[in-house]
Amino acid sequence: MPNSRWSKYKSPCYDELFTEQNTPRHAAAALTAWLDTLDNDTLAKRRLAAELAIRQMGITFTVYSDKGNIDREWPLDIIPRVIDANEWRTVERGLKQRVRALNRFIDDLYNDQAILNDGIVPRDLIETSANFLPECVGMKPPHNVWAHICGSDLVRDTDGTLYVLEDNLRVPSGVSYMIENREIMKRCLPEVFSQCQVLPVDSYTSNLRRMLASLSDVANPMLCVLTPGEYNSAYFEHAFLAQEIGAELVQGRDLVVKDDKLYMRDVDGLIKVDVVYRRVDDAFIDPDCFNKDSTLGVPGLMRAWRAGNVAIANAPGAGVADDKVVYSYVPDIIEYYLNEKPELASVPTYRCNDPDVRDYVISNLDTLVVKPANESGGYGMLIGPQSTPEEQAQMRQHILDNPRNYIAQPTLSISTSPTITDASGTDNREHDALTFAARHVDLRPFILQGEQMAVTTGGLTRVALVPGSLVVNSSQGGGSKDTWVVDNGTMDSQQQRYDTGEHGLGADGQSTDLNASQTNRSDSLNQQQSNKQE
Amino acid sequence: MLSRVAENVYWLSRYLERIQNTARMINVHDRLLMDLPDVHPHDAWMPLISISGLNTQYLEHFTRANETNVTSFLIADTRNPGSLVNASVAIKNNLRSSRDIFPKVLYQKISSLVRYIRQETEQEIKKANRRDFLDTIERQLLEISGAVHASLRHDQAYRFMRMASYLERADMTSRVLDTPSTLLSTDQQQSGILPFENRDWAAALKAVSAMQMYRRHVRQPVSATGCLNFLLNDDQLPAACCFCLLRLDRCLENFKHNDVARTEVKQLMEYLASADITHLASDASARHNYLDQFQLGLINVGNAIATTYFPPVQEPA
Repeated sequence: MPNSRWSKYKSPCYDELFTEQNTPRHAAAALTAWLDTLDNDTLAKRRLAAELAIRQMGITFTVYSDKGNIDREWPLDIIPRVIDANEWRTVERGLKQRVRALNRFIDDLYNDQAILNDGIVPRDLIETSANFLPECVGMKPPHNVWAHICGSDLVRDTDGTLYVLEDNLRVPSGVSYMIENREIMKRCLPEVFSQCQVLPVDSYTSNLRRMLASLSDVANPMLCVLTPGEYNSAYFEHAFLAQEIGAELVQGRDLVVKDDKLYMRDVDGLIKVDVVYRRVDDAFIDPDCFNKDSTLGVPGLMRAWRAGNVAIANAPGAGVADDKVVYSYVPDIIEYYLNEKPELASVPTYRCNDPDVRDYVISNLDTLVVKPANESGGYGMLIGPQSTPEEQAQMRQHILDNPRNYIAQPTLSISTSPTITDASGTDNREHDALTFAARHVDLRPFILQGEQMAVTTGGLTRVALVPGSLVVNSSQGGGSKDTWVVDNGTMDSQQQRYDTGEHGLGADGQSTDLNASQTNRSDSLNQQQSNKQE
Repeated sequence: MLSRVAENVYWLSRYLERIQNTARMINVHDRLLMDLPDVHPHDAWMPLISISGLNTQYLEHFTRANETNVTSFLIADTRNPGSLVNASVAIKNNLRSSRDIFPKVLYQKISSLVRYIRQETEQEIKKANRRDFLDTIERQLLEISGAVHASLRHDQAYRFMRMASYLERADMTSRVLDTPSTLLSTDQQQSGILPFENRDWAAALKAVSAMQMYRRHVRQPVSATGCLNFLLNDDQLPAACCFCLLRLDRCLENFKHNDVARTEVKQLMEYLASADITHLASDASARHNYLDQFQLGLINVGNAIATTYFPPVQEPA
């Protein structure tokens, strides 16, 4: 293809759409061929159409700044990232395995502590964790599930292996953008979907609703999404999800606890709330229990939860497993509870609380990535190869001051995916202005676990828009891509259904796959009914 | 629905109605003045400030009224709490807090109105473009109102929006009726064919979009009596005070704990019914006092709704 747009495309590492020989990967072939038929003007128009749609639909995220909080329009690159459905099946299985094990782990920590007694995970690690909440000890949440919504970050290394980088078990965000990205792509590249066998992503919200409802005994439970308020960075998502699942979007001041029951202040009076999908951190959900000055939470919420009168997702205390030191034990945790080998790889992790390991980390700060155990959003990290000696010295001091709070990992060579860039053409010819360049990407799928389990089809792909940068966070200049799980018919037709036949924590031993039950509507209905009777 | 959200939706709707009223009022007044070439600029433009109840705020910043100052004060001046720009900011904030209530199509229409006003007012609105600008706003508001009726379930959120519109609209109508008293004619001066055949009363009708309906329904020349009677007491004209109160009460009927607010509405309806229209038509100061009382009554209705249904601590809208 001498005139191909792709002839000059080159990735420094593994690329999601192209092989090392610069041929399209099988699942991406139809897409890349179609993109080649677009001239630059058309491509520029499509990109503009996407920007306009995002503005019109009000898809924003909020950035904190000195001048107050500013709404920014959601950055979307219109070249999708493509994942082969065959690969995705394996990933999906691995994610479910992981979350299932993590939920067993959290439940164990707050009850029997068998894993500590057996010395698999050091007791000290848990007892010194800021995220271990003594207020949760002895709780038995519905289905023994604590982390109902998990957003795991996956990255791919040079050899093509997908690694789980972290498990976000507190208040992971991004799923609304995953859904809206698809909506925008349908508007601005309408003709390509029929050629590419892209699996839909929109079943997430109905799965979320079903999952949340499964946490309550009430037949048609009152759900609400608890947001820190309209200036939170993810407020768009909170409003989006509330709308999609038919929940009330509430703030702390809308709620009140009376007689250990949770109510919202309605114009008709107080109305009982059965399930809270909270997007407020543990520390702020109940000033009676945690941060006394919090105005974001509800006094007495923990009491109501402990009394079993309201379900909270994710459950308070679930963050104990969302700690980068605990992360390093996840393969052991999976083996311990499930007696299975981990299906997804974890990144090798050095724990700085071990003196020998600490010395190794400190003497290799220029090659490692160092992360605080409890931060999210990419804050407080050191990326060794891209850091200055001053930054390394500073990190060295941080580690020595608080070794428990730091872990280090080898710097992965994170994969890339083609992304539209405005190349500053030397001759200023307008139609030479757009090119495709390799930019690093990660992937955040979302895993739901209630009575049943479900995983998003793909997830949110985040892309570092700055050349060479590994920082994908939208708050720090990252963008996003639509993620296509493409089923182009290469697998055995018997396996085409998204039915992995797994069993989750449900005591009934039925299929626990929400997506599986969706593939056959009548099955799904039957199953729902039989579940209600039990 | 949540009390907090009810309050957001209520104020959102009041500001939408206010924008509509202001835009229409400027447009109508503009056209009226083109037919009155001799009027001094101050006398010509000050009534717009009076109708909007902004005399104090305006005179803090300007000594005299003229076209440029008054229109920019009403449209783009951030020092005027009721300017189109400030109203659109209030709408934006209330929309943000109640986003989940609205169907997406409605959300998009409201936020594009907000965006349009912000974009257009970044530069001064020139006289040549003003009509276009205001017409576009009016058209967008009609679309929003259509989407409210057609896409929102006619539930509590819808009713709070309606109630807010009715209060804002009745207030506007009463203010419009009050201006001729400060400026121009009363029925007593009428004899024979007037050069301007009650142009001011016709302008009042136009300012609330009621001129055509007046002709069709009243079928008499425009007069102070006819106009007052139509805009105060008609029960089928959307801009009429009686209509607004009737519909407001019909909304309230559907709510629990509505007795205080309904009592206020009832009293105000009786006050309307008791008006001596002939006297009001001939005595400008009596008219002014009457309308002033009516406006206080509207405030009482609004307060009753707020204390019954909204969260106790008032937030800045």
